[in-house]
Amino acid sequence: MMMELSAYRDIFIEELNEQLERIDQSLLALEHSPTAELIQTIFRAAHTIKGSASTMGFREMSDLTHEVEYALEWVREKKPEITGILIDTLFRALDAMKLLRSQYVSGGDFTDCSAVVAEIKALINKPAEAQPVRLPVLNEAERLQAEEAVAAGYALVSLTVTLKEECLMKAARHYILLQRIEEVCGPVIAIALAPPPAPGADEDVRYSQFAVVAAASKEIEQVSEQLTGETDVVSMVIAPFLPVSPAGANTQAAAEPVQAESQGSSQGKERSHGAQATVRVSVERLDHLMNLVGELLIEQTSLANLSATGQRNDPAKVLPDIGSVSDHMGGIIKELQEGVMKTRMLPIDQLFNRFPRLVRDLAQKLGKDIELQIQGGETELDRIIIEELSDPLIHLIRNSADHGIESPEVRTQQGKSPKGRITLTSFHEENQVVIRLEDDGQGIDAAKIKASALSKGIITEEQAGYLTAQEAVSLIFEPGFSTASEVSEVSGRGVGMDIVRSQIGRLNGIIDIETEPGAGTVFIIRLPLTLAIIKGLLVNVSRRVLILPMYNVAEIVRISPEEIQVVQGEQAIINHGRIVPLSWLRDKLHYPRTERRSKTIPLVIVRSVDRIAAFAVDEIIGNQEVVIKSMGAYLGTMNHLSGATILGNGRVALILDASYLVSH
Amino acid sequence: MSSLQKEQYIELAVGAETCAIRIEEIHEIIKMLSITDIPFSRNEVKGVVNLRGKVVCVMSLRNLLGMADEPYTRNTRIIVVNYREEFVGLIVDKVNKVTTYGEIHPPTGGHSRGRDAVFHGVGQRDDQLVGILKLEEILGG
Repeated sequence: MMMELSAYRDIFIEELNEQLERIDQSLLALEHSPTAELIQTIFRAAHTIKGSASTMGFREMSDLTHEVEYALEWVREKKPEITGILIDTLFRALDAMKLLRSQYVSGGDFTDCSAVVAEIKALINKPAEAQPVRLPVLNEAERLQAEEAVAAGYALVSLTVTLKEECLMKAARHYILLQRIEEVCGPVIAIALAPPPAPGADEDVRYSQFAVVAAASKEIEQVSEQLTGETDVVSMVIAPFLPVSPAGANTQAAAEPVQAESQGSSQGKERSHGAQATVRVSVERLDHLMNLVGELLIEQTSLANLSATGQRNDPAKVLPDIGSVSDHMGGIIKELQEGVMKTRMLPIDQLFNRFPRLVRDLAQKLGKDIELQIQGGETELDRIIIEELSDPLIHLIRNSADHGIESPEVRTQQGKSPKGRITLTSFHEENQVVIRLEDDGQGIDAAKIKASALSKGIITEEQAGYLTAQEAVSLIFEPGFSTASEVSEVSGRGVGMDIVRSQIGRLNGIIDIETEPGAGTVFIIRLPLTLAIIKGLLVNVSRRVLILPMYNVAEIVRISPEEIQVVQGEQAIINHGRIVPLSWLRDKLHYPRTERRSKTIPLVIVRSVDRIAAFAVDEIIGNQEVVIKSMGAYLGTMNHLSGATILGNGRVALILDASYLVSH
Repeated sequence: MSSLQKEQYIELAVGAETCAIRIEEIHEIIKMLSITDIPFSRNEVKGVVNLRGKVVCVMSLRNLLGMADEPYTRNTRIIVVNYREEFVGLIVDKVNKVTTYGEIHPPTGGHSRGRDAVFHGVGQRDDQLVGILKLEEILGG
């Protein structure tokens, strides 16, 4: 039985991911405009998960979704007001489901989700207004504290306390109760009060109900026994607390870039292999491919016929026909290639849809009002690129929310709308996909960046003198640079931007920045459509064919030897008024020298990220689409190569890594 | 050693030496193909070849066993082996035959330590002695 089921595991996980994504989006939509359809969508998704989880014997998941389903059933029938607490609780349940999902995928132990279940039950069993307190969301320090407590053998519990209406000095009572909880239960980690009252009302109201997360050294029953009968307390609900913060998933993602950097791209590949073992392709696309293959078969038959005719009669007569069949086949193959490539493509929405939740959580945490606008989500991109783009984009969005967008007060003072806006746009431009991340925040102050880079020793006094504003702003991509004067919880510790740049660079992409102090910042990322097939420039160097990725080729020029200048002992040329360092590709790759026949030297000017360099080659052959083949793990790390391809003559040609070439 | 005795081996020649590789470790044996050399690779890596659309790295078994390269001849072959779930080619001077061994002795010893490690043992058939190669050591070392 287990064996049979394991065959469906991948399909189950795929479906689970899809349904969780659907719940995520619907919840976000529900928060903005509650409709019955959205509730119905979430209900259906939860129901689907419940069904397939119990078929797979994944009891933890089916139990949890059963409760969610039940809660939604209740919402559907009772039609209570959709409160923040309800949404929060459902988000918490979703986080717990995601946690279970990843534990299921990795085969680890399952976290006890009874806290979430208890929360859902508490929500349903009580009228909405009796539950105005949200459980606290742990911040970084609190989460650490909680983790330490758990490691030390404490159990996390939440205590929701409601004070009597007639209680005077609720703040004082709250304080006394906290003392009691510390005494009986253990250290208090986080506190949440009722939402602030309307202006003018008594602040004391905030303390009428509060929730506490504490590390308990005893069983819940014991704690509850010892805490009953406190003065002025109407009720005290004690439940186990599950430390999944709404931003939990994202914090994890934020920690990843650092890891990814140290382990190279292999980690990213493993991750995508684990999660994306199957591909969903629309039947329409498959049919199209099938038709093309059918046409190929027909062409092949006519080729065989022509061959037979040629053998019987004069071969020269059939040659023109063979030529036309070959042309036709070439067309079909080209279309087939595009079609197959499209099966690897996904709309970038798959990635963008994760961000509204991220921005919502960030805004809540930072006490800012931020709106995320998404445009061009239908733009298609290779699935591997989409997977690898997640970390850098999360980082950039965090940065925009934390450092870019000002607090509502500051924004109002500056005459801006108190609501900050982050716009994420994606579109095709020639053979590339462009992603723009724009915020209307405070922009980046070039002078500040310069001063900071100077004090950190990233640039010298002399360099600071001639840096333009644009160049100064680009310094944020240098390793070890962080503009935040204080390290903040959200954006981390200045390990960010250089990693963002190298991650984009690894995808053969380029990142640019445009900023205007006071008006906002735009990050522009340009990426190739796919990593599997690229347009490559074929060049001849020392009797070898080498390939340079076309999107790194800025220009091809021919110069005469006299144009080569020697600056500070290095060869360079002047190109469009810039000094561009020049090297001979054959020397760079330690190939033997060959005799040069032509008088002029063909140069390829290569651009990668923000560097540029010229490379002299023996001959430019031309450009063509090449399929990138992996060189295999046995060779070890080959930083100077991004792969190999097989040429029309059957030989293997190496594809050079442009970013390595220009920076080494 | 009994398990080794039943197995079939491919016997091959590099320089004056005759070696054997377990047939199960071999994917196929091909004639010499045109090799694309790779800059900045180890000396024993001769480059990559196109094995029916797959890019496969080829190594010189001569170099791996501490011998200098010789020009390739009509007899030169690439033995494609399975190593850690990928194909790796080994260039050998000649492939002799498929064979089994009546007796397999432990590595002879007495040579330098590094050389002993690359052999599982020494196969004996009649009077002839053949070193059985340990791929894991040769390719992983």
